[in-house]
Amino acid sequence: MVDRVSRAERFSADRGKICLIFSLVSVIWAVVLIDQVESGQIHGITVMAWAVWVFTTSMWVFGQPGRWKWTVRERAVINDELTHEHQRSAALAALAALGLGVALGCVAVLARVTLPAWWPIAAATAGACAAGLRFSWLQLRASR
Amino acid sequence: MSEGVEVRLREWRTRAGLTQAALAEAVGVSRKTVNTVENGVFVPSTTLALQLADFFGCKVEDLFSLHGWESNESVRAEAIH
Repeated sequence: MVDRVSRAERFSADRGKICLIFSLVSVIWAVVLIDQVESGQIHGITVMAWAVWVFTTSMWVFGQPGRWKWTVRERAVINDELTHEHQRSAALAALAALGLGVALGCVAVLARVTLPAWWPIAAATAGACAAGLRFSWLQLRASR
Repeated sequence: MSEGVEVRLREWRTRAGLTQAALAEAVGVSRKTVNTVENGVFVPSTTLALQLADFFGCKVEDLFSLHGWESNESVRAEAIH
């Protein structure tokens, strides 16, 4: 039992670091994709990789550990009330980033300014990245 | 976040000779949660506060108390009546 719980503790401790890495790599994928959009040579594999990476980053932050791998007790440790609090905070950060993207888009429409084609990519990445960075910062601070 | 809440969890835990990890395992949360509660970064839910108090065999007020809170008797009496 101790080993099982220790496994959950280790996962809980590593989750912040994993979210940090995923967030930073999602930015790299977004930069690669935006570069391709700018040059007009978009590769489907890059779009797919970016989309999967952003989704995976979100899953690391907001996902619930599966029953097939973790026991009820382990899941209670991994997703305890502190983690829920951090997820709420990360969701607020994501909403703020996405809201800012939408607001700027609205302002651009009202001002009759054409936004670049990569704007949705940047906004979506900013949302996922904001959630990931906020969550990892809170988790790493709590681990100290 | 925990402004106004005085936490004495660390005193109770060390008196019991427990590590944060051992206490966390006993009440079914992560060590991070115990750590943040002890440091006053995170205010636990009522359920967790009751579980901690039950574990130590004390009252919740022994572990947590409101700092600088003055109960207003007249307001309470007015609300009841």
